[in-house]
Amino acid sequence: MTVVREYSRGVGERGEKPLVLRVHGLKKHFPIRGGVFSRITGYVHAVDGVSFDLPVGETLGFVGESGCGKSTVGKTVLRLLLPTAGSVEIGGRDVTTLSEHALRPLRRKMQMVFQDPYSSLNPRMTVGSIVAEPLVTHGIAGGRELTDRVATLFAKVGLRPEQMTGYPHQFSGGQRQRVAIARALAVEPDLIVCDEPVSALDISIQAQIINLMMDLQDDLGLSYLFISHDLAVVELIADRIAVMYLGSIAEIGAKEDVMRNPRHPYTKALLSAVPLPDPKRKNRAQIVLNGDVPSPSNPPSGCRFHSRCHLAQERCRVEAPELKSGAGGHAVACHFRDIN
Amino acid sequence: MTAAALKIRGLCVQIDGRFDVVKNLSFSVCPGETVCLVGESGCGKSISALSILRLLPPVARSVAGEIYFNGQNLLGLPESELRRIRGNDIAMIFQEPMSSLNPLRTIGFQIAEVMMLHMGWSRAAAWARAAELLEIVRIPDVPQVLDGYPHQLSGGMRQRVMLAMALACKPAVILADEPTTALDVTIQAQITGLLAEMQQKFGTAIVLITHDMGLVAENADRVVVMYAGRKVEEAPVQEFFQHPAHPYSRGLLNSLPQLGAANSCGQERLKEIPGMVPALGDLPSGCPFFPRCEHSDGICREQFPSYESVGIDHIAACWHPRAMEENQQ
Repeated sequence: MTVVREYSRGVGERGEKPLVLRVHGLKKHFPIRGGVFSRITGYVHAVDGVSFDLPVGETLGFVGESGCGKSTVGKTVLRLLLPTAGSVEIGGRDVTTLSEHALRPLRRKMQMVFQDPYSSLNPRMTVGSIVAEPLVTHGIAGGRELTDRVATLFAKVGLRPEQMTGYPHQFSGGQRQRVAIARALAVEPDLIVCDEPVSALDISIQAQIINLMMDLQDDLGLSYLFISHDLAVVELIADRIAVMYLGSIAEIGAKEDVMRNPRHPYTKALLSAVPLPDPKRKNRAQIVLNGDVPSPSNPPSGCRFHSRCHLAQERCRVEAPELKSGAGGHAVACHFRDIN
Repeated sequence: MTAAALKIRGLCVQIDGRFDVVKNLSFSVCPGETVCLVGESGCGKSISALSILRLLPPVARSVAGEIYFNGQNLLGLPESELRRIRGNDIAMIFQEPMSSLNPLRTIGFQIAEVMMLHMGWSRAAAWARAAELLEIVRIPDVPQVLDGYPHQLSGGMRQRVMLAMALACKPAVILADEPTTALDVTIQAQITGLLAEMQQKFGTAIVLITHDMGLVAENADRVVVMYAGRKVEEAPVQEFFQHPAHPYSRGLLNSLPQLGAANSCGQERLKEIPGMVPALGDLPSGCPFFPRCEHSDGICREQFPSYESVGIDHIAACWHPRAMEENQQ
């Protein structure tokens, strides 16, 4: 594969690798409307100040529970949603301020794979034309060349080129997800945002798709923003992991640091709550959190986790902890990160 | 061994009178025991549970087998008598708590209704007990929740209400169909903890249907693995995770990403099971797993294997369980 990638000019803090994506202070607030005149009565703070870097060829995993804002981060990065504040640099250019027209060529560099392969493919199009569509839209290929490229893409994701004429309903969940991946690959993107790409699949199929995504990354030098609630899957595929809670990053770092040596009490609780497929370890000490995640329309003051945290003290109720970086870029947003 | 609380023998369920969705399924569950039914979507695990309480969708019908509860065959009971058992002696918890609660009725009414109906309690007594049950499942602010509606509660809270409802008549058996799949892990831990606590207190027999091997390991006493409508393996939980005998079980366990396995030497590939689950109308003859199995040969194509003992209380339906163990070593 000889794809020339010359645009990644921004160089990351950690020096070595150029960045495909740099996000700074990203915020997305959704208005809540109510009353007779649909006045804005409040805001859902879906994403509230998120910053991270993604070097070329790496995978950043976003984990967290439902409503923590991880999917909103993905959509805002691709500018499927316009951010309320903050910047998103793709290959060194801030996409938040570009016009739709100016954004268009950049769209080729970023693609998305969604969770539900049943609703993300148009049931009235053949899977071949679904994969061909981005090539046509961006004016990349036509005629004979188009068919050839689609056939190549099919082969790349483990489908047979003869299957191009089928419709989505004729395919299983795993095969549909392969089609969705082929569609994302069609324009030779650098960044793919994967929002729970294997959550709707059965275990045996999930393994096939994860392996495919890892192989494609090795072959094509792709960067993934991999959003999932499944910590084991993220641990397998990601290089770095960000743990989100109520719209902000609680902890971010290399996967070994976050999984083996979690410093934030939420990360610890999350990790210990995952049931392990090993009956010998079923009596291990578990941290069971009390209560539910608070509503993002009215997040707790100070540290957002304080209402469920066993370490919480007066300071946590008042002062929001900073996401402070330590060794190896392992950053934790907790007042007690060092005691912990 | 104590007498089984629920015993299923040779259950067969058909859809449209043509397709076998469950074939010759037998298992039993004892008081205080949790049996996990595991398998992938479409393997017949939910249909089996639904057929126990005769809640099957109209296209499906149990065509053979017996389901014994308290010495009675539930499949032979008239509807009026089954209604006395449903929700009373055998309760069910579903995956999606929003769609299994009535959106137009208060939470208090829905829990009290069960007791007014099955135990003939007065409204006042049933409401008082409903309040107690909500305390037991640790719902904060009970009076407010009693008068509230399902949409006012979070997913975890709704599943607690379902649990309270299931416990209302102190059932002997609880059928839990993916009870935590729609919930986040931290909430899941709360709910499974509660379920285990209730089981200890009341000696309830639990049939837990799940596809999550982690939940199986942490909650099951025994495991029943289903594939394409058939039971392919049954074993005590420790034995199952240490010596899975059926190639499908082994494949499932091997294809799981393991939490805490992060290593600095880079990514590791998962072992995959090739191919996919066969479609209902297109089941292969013989062992349904043979097209995906590395050990299959002529006999596998022709005949479904009988259940052979491969360990203590451990049975598997495979022509070559031993061949595989040798390969493993």
